[in-house]
Amino acid sequence: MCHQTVRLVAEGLERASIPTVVVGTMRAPLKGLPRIVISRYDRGRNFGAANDPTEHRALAREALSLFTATEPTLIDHKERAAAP
Amino acid sequence: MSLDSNPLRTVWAAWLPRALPLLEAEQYAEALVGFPKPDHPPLPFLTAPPPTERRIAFITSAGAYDTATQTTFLARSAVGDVSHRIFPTMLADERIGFSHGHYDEEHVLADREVLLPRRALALEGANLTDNIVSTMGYAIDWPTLIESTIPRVIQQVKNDGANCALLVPV
Repeated sequence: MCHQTVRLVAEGLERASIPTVVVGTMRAPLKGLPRIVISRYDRGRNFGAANDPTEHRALAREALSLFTATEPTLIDHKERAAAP
Repeated sequence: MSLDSNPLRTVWAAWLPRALPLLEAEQYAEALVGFPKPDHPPLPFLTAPPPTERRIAFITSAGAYDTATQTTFLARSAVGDVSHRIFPTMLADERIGFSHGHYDEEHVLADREVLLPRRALALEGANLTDNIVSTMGYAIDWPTLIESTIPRVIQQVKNDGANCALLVPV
């Protein structure tokens, strides 16, 4: 439900001409948004484990990089982790 | 004079009586069968401003609030909470509380950066606006969310001078 309600907010912002980046932990509820990072971590710690500033910065950097995207972009770390 | 109708609210109101006992029993999967949702028409792709011109609004559904000046969200409500909170981006960690109830708050209470990575974003050069906007993502009353809360969130973001936004759902 939380990802779905944030999707509604993101859609509203996009329609108000405010580009968005979403850093979530579940992919399906965010489908259709233009810039998405799916964290490898569980919900409640989207940017990594507590007291891991290096990882927090890495995910922050990745999220900010999506603002330069010129087409819809999805980075799915869960999918990458599951890949053989 | 007749009042405006809201087709989504009409359908939602018809769905709610069957769902409410299941929501109260925390049987969410069964309760949300037939949950009415709006259409999601495709979004036109927007180009974000260049880095030096970005003013980024930070929005989360973590149920964050200022413990000194604001009330908690209704974390134990069966229908959730459609309200939102606005607090200074640089509010001290110990002033930021979380009332959500649908995720493990242990991590964010140990380190706010896991959901509100203010220091990490600043170190990466992000220029955040002056306020964070938080909702409590568990909100069943979508008609009110869509008609009232989201327009107010968007207006807050505009008032803060944002030209792009980073959203963190929980």
